[in-house]
Amino acid sequence: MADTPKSGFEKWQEGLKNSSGDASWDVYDCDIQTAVNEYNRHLSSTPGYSTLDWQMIKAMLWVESGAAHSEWRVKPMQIGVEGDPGMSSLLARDEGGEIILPPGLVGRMSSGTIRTNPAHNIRAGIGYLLMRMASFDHQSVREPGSRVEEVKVKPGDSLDRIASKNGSTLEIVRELNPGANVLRIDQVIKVQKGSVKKVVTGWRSITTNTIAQRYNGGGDPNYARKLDYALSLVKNGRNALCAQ
Amino acid sequence: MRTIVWVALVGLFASALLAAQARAAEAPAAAVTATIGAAEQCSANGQAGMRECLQQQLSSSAAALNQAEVKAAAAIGTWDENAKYIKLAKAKLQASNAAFQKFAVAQCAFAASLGGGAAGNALEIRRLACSADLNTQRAAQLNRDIDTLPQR
Repeated sequence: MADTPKSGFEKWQEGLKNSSGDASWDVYDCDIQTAVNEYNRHLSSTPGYSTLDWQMIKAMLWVESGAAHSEWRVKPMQIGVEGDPGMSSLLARDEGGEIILPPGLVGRMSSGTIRTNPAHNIRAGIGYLLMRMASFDHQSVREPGSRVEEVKVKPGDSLDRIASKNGSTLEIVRELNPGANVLRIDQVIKVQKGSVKKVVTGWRSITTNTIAQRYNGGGDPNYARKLDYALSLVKNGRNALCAQ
Repeated sequence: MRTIVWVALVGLFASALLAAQARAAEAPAAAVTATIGAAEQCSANGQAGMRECLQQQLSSSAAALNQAEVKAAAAIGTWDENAKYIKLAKAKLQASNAAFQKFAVAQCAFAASLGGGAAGNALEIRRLACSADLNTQRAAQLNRDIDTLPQR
């Protein structure tokens, strides 16, 4: 009986198994670890954040390009390729990337460096992955270092007007003055500077399935399976030693 | 006795009908599976290689479709039918070819959009796979359409 032809996934699996033992597949280990540590430090205080596993990112690099492909040396995470909406979305100032990217990276990374510098390509890929996994909302945020001050109610004032006059928001003024439902002239109201900002309110769990859904968008029908397999090889294989 | 025979016959007919319905339900699915496969075939690569593979698939499927269109036009030209109907069928084929191209662009832009905010090659992979698969299906359909056309 003739052998059943191998599926696309099986061929890829076989190729990876045969080639990933080569040290060139581990060449970005230290870059990945440094980048993941930067993101973990930066985002650790956001609600519900779980530490990102650098080996998951290494597995992604193997699935996105792989050391056998020429793109490995330029855009290992493949963000910024022609027709990719991810890079511009990450670098836009209002889609969440401005919150996700560590401050030290914002000025240094550009569309040009993402497309030409593998270390930046990896960082941009991680940033966009995290951006896709975060839940965002607009909330009133008190200005760090600002003090709570007291003002007196004047004729014609409302909480909204007091907030606006004092560089604050209605939500912050309401929080500071829970009993101030009806205002009287000369009543003392607490205010603190603040504004409405986009913030991270939670995180989707980062699994091979959610990465396939949110980062790959169903482009490759075998993306999650590939990530699972690559991750198993990464976890059981050798990793480069990096100075911390 | 006659009642028993009648019930048995009805039972046999019902089973045959159900089996035929099951086959009919399976047939379109099998046909679709056979023609939708560019993404699966190219999945033997990483995402960068998959995109290149799909670009090749698209080129070869476009060439196969072009060949099928030429073959269909030629078969209609030598069809054993009145000239009036040959002319009509040729015009309809041309209109169908043009409409298909327009449809394929719109459909595959839609397919790509279902990748949402996916990164890297993902959206292009969706578009290329859709285009290659549609070309392959259309070429097969054209070949089937003219296959039984009686020739002069």
